[in-house]
Amino acid sequence: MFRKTAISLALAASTLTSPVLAADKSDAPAAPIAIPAPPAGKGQVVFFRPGGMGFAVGCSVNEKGQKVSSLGAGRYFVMVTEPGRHEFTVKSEAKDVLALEVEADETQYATCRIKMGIMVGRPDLAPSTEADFRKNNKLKLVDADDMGPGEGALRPDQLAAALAASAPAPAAAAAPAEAPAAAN
Amino acid sequence: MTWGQGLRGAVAAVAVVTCLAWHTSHAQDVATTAPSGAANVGPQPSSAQPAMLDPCVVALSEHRPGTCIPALTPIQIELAEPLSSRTSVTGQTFGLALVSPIVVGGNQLIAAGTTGQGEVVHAKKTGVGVGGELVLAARFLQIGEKRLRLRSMHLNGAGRDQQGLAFAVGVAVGFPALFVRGKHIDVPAGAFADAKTAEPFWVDVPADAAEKPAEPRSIEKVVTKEGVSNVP
Repeated sequence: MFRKTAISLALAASTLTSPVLAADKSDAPAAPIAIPAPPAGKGQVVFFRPGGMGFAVGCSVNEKGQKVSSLGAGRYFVMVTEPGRHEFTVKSEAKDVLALEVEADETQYATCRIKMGIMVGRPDLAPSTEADFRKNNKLKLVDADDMGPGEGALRPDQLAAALAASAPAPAAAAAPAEAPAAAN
Repeated sequence: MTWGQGLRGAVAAVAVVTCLAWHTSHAQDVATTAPSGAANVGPQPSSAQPAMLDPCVVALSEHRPGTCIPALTPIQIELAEPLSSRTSVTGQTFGLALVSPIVVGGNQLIAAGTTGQGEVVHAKKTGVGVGGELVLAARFLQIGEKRLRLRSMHLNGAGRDQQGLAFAVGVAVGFPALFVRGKHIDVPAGAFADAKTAEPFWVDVPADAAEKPAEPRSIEKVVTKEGVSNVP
């Protein structure tokens, strides 16, 4: 009896304290996710998947029959690609297609949602916005192991290199603007 | 070859090089004075396009009177017809019109109301709990016999999801949850959208010299580009 009561108390205590700890953890301001500018003449699409319903269902983004990257709940990845029309697919018990017009030197956003299916949840790709992406500030980059073999998805080291390369860009872009003024 | 012919050739070569240099420097000026919305687009998309002659450079080298509309000039367009994820299909074209005139260096080059065409890149009806989807692209403005290509239209969207309701119905009564649909996305005729010009475009005669310009619509944003002057 005493053992049962102790276990119950311990469970109750853990139930009560864990949300507090979780709240403490969540109160820490998360740094905004940095997305680099695409390479000159190329466009990019940021795929993200907020957590929520159907977190156990996979959402593997494919293009032209090749997997670009898996996209687990609470994850994102950046795909650099040529400008033009692109068709991305996800598949479980049904296939879903999203076509996007990728523009040179611009970033677009797409999200994966899990909708209800008959036997299992169905991933659904939809166009999205940067604002929606920024609402989910706890997203994590997809692991390198889960990317490919299709081209385009930036691996963590490639993303870091792109961010490092694009960091001094504003200073470099400001220089030509001042040059004509100085000449005048 | 006589001395006179050689001198004329040299003068012509210097003139062409000067025109090219002038155009390049003005393109940089325009890029630096562009509104903040265009600041993050980076260099012109020429590297993504197949190599082709810049019509503005050609016109300048030919000393044609007129003005150049630089690539990536922001414009505002309105849809000429309603579109909906309920009825639209992928690949369908739709009419559009320029809301405000394109003004460069104080000259109105393309009048408000100029019509063009767009394309439905992606349309999908609603699913169980998820909203409809619509991705649109502006393709071109028809200016006389020529087409001014457009890009970067921003009017994509997905209808509101009803996932919560579908899940709740699924838990409560099971199978009927499959009939809970998300919301469609409806874009009425006359809806405004932002876009950009996709290429440099040479206008031989300013539109206001040929006809009375149409009044701009009652919106705040009027596209102007300082720093681009007329060619005498």
